[in-house]
Amino acid sequence: MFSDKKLKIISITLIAVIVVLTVVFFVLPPLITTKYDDELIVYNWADYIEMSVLDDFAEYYEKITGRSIKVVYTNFDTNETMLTEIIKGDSNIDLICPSEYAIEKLIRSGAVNKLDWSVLDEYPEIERYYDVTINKDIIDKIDEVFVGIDTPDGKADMNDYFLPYMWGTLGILYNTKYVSDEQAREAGWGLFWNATNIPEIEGKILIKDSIRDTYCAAVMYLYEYNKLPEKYMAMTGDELISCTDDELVTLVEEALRDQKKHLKGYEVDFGKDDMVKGIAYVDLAWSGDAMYAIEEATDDDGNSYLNYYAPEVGGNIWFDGWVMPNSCKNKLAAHMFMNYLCNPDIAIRNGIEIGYAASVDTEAYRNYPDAVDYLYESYEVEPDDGEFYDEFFGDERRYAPIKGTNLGMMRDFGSQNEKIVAMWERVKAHGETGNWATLGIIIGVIGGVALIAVGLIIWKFYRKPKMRKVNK
Amino acid sequence: MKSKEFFKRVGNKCKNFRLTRRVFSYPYILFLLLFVVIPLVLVLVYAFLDANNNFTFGNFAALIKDGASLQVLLTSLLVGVITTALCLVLGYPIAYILSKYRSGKVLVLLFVLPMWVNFLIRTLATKAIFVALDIQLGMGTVLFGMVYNYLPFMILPLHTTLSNLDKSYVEASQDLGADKLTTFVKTVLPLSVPGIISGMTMVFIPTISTFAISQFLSDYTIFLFGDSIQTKFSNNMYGVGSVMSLIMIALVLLSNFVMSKFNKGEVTGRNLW
Repeated sequence: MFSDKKLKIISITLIAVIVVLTVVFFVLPPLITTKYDDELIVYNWADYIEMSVLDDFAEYYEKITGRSIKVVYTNFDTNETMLTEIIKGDSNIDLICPSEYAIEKLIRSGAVNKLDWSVLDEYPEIERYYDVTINKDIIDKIDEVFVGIDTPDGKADMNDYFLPYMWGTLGILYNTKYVSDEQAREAGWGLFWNATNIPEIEGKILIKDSIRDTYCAAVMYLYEYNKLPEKYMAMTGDELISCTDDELVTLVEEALRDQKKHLKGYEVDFGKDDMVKGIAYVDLAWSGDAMYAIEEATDDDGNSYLNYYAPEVGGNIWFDGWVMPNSCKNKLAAHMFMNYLCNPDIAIRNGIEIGYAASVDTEAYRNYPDAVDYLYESYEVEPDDGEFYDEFFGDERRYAPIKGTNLGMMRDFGSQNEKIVAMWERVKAHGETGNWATLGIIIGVIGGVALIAVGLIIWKFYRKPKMRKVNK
Repeated sequence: MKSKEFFKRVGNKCKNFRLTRRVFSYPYILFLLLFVVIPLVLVLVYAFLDANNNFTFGNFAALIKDGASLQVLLTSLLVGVITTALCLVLGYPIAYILSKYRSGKVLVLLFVLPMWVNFLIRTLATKAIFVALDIQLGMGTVLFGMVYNYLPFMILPLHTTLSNLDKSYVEASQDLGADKLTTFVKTVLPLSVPGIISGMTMVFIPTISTFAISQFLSDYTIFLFGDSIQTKFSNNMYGVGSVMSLIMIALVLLSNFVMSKFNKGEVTGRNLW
């Protein structure tokens, strides 16, 4: 079709076009776009910060250091994804914000550095927020559990490595149209097993498709309903939710299997939407997600048909915090960023945007009128004598008491991880055959339709037997 | 001196460069190497490594000891078989009718049309319908979703085979006095076996590894082999996850082997004539 020469011309033109396109799309943009002096790569949960804070930080950084900075915000969806990326991969991340147990894992594998606030000494004009505004109860709570972690370089305490960012509890989000506040308090964790036999919620219960959270709920249910052997009943909530004895795991497996018949299903992130839409009536939720859902479900009079309750008998209190991986290149910017987030003016913006409780002490906001104004504006409340302030920060659903409660922190499953994952899979695979009854009906219906279709075809053939006649 | 020689050689290379067909395949071969061969090798390697990257057979042992995964595999195979059977029972008459009529091409288009909508959107929409109808999500809804999603993969190969059938076979059988049913059973059905086999493979293999459809349409209560592999990988159990992936690959190869066997038989059969 083409002569050799023509082909050559065509191919050269094609290559030229490809080269030109590459230049236009890949080489030119970096040359045209503005150059930044510094870069800070933040690796955080999705929707876990007020995005405008990033720009404000860049401005603040330039004002103090005189250097421009580009803040890159990247996301992970589970702690496990993040761990794989940080421990196995070679990333170029400056700051990560995982949960406490994941931080424990990172410290144990030597993937993170201790914080070193002395880098801020270079700029005396930086106001030190981090050791003034942070809620001391959180630091104490961490010191109770996460100390003496084995690292490649000896023992270490988590508080030397991380700065708390957000925290909250694990609890029950329920629809008050079907479950009254009294009923929820009466049933406690048993609500997920419909232990008090509320007919409306049967088959409308959601639980998290996350082993850690569901494990915690199951252990606390067994504890609350006295279904554990003596030695476990003697433990505190703290010890119990971090306990992964084979015997306890077996008991949890039985409880979770038993639970399956009451469930609507396991949820990943659609739980709060299903609750707001009224498709499910009970959901295992983190406090921030719960507050978000409650606000979504609020009518004009300020009444919400959803409510949240973290049973007093015990449960999980969790923290997310900032750590610096070994790949951190810009320690100054990283520390400045962490410090900046502890500024109550900034913390209130993040807290309101994402619905979780920032680790800044609730009393600290009082000294920052801008933060208080921001809070009042966001909730469209008229200035009062701090009434709404007390109401907002005194809300135990959002700011649970950290001291003097049975709420505990969960450690990493460690070497028991595989065993518990296997247990979880057995639970999820359990009772699938029970569905075969519904299945039989469906197969019957579809099969019937198909048979009718086949029958129709055959009938059509027999109705008009068009045998060829041979003329003799 | 040397640089001159070098340029000469390069010049020669350029002169001798011929745009053969082979040249055009290089980008694709590169792509295959990067995104198909290397990942497969990685799966193979990880299957024999423990958490500390030492060689081990422990992952296979762990899988067998575990029990849950094998039960899940059985369930998945069962779901696969049922979905395939339903697709065949539903798809064959449709494909047959479509190949008989001139308007068939338009109708085939209608069947293929939903495939152009992303399957996640389709599945979420199906879920919304079930929720609106207040139907309890479970095995039944999952099967519905599977059949809905994979039916076109059954109809298309069947339709192609059936519409390419040589009409003279049918005429011959009618000439020899067979009634319509006998004609169908003795000529059309056997001749469409390659279509049936390829349709079955195209439905069976994707169904056993599906996870999104089963998750969405059952509120995560139906746990299939694909889900199990996903759980393994997201909990850092690369070894066992890789072993399970190997099982999947083995199943794919097996079905391919069966399919090629059948198709070969068809070719030799034709050669006989």
